[in-house]
Amino acid sequence: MTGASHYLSLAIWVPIAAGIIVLVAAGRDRDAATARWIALVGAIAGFLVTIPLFVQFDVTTSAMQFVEHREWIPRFEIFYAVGVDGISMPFVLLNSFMTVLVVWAGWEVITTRVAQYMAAFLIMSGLMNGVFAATDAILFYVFFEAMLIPMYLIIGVWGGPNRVYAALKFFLYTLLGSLLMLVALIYLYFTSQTFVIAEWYRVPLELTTQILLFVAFFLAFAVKVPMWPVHTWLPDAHVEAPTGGSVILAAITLKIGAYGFARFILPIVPDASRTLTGFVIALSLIAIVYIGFVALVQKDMKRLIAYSSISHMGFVTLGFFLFSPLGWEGALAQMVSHGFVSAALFLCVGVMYDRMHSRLISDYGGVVNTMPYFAAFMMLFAMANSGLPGTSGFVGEFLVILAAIKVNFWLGFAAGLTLILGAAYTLWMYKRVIYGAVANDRVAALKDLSRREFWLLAAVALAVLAMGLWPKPLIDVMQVSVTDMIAQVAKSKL
Amino acid sequence: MTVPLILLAIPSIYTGWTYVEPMLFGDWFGSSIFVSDAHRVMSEMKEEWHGVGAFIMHGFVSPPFWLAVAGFGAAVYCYLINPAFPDRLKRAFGPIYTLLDQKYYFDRFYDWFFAGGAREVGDVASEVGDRTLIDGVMVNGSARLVGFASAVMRHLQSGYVYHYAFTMIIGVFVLLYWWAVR
Repeated sequence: MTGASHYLSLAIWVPIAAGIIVLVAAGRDRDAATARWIALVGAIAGFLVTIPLFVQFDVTTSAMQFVEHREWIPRFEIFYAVGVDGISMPFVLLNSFMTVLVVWAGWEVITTRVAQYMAAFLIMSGLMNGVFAATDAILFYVFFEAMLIPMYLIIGVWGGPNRVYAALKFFLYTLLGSLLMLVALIYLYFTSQTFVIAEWYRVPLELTTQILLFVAFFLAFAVKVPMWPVHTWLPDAHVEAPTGGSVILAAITLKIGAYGFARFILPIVPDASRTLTGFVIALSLIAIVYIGFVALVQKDMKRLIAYSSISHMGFVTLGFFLFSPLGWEGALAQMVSHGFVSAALFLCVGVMYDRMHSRLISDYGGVVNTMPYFAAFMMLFAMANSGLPGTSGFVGEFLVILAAIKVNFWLGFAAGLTLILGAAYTLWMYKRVIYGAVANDRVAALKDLSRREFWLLAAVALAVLAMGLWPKPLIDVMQVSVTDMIAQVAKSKL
Repeated sequence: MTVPLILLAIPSIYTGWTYVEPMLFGDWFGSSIFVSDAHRVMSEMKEEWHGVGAFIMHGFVSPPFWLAVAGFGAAVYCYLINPAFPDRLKRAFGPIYTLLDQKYYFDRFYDWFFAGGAREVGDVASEVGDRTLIDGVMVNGSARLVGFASAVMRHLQSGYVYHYAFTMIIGVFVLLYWWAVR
């Protein structure tokens, strides 16, 4: 499927156009209802146009598919070039799916500046699809940076009491990280005379140059993942962001960091990557173990899930740097699964926060007595977060641990600790919030899920179970691209 | 609870009675379970097998059955015939009673060592590692350092021409000195 198709452009521009229409047609607060409906239609349309990407995807090739190539800035050979392979396609779908959920999740909750809120999410959705689809480095960079703006606004405008601090921290952290990446992109352009990312896979580079490029890219993507010790923006951002912001941040934004490792660092500077494997694996293990302990003692549910995200993303970077198909497939599966599970947990916290206006674990207890349906859903997501077999969380963790044990038993053992720690912090939180006697009058007065909330959580639950019980379609999509990419990474450029 | 227990008991008896023979000595599992020739446990057991009835009757002469009966008897004596007896026993064997009552203290130990230890490690990692070192010193510390440096430098910009002139003269002296010494 390499003929002319416009699905990727549609995936990028339909949500952005919908966002602009929402702003223009229903920008005033009294048009909130119209804004919601336009946003929902736009988000659903944005999701529908991505379905052909999956249905028509050719799993037998690692070449870019649904390719579009147009001149953009010819003087510097910068193109509007998009395409997806098995590594990026699942994330375009995941992102577009999540956008529908987020628009729906904010339906009754967001009451001020509704159009602006919806528009920010729609525009960000398009930009993030652009990040996954761009095959031209400058196009990638533009989408990568532009994406910061709506997220900054979402946290800064609709966030909690400390939102300005969190938004600024998020912005500065990610911007500072990515500035060095721009230097790296420009250097690579002067070396190769092109901004086509795939061409850079073939450019010979000295080890010292590779290490410098590695550092430049690493800073940008490690902040986004986020890896220890550049992770502290994430808990703050999550705590202050509105539910929808947290969902997108956890489900998609973090994945972009990990995607950068797979698309840029490993194939462009493979020798530096191999030289610095120990360093990255050490940081990943610290993220898995140290952050797991930090998550255990959090008092704020959102902060706990944020730390849990960092710990789970440690698995992704670990998987990539094991240099094996199992590790890569595990890492990618973990990325998709974490997209569903962390999003679901943030939605769950959102459901409780909307009723109690508190995220503190100590304010809850015995919620199952008043919200049994909700408790059942949250149980499933808590289990998935702990990596229980049958849920999506198991697939990625299992593959990465398997790959790690093949490299070194103790590496696999340390990675396996996450199953214990993950279960400890997730289930302990679940126990304190959901079980026990009804903690106070406010918990006693809680009402179970509304129909909207029920179907919202049911949609994610279905995805979590489907991926856990039948991961084959996802693995099939990735397999050839992963095998090819690993062959690419195995080649020395010296 | 009685009815569910009865309902569970009926299929248990039926299944055990009907399937014990084909499962253990028949072809029930096909080739799914393989017994190595070196350990011919099943065929040796088969030599001692004389049908379900004999199997049940044999149960009555084996120690586990009589131990169970003894347990039942002890319970009847302690809680129906002589309810004061357990209390006397408890006083006579105080420490042993406590040890058993506390499940050899394993749960307490696990709670203190693993759960408590993990929380302790988490507290240190969260407070010292994340809040103080990373967020406090590295992140906000670097911002504060810039703020502090600017606050100091600000005083140099006094707006008086003679301050600037003196600074320049001092600068010239420093440069000359450096040039001369070199």
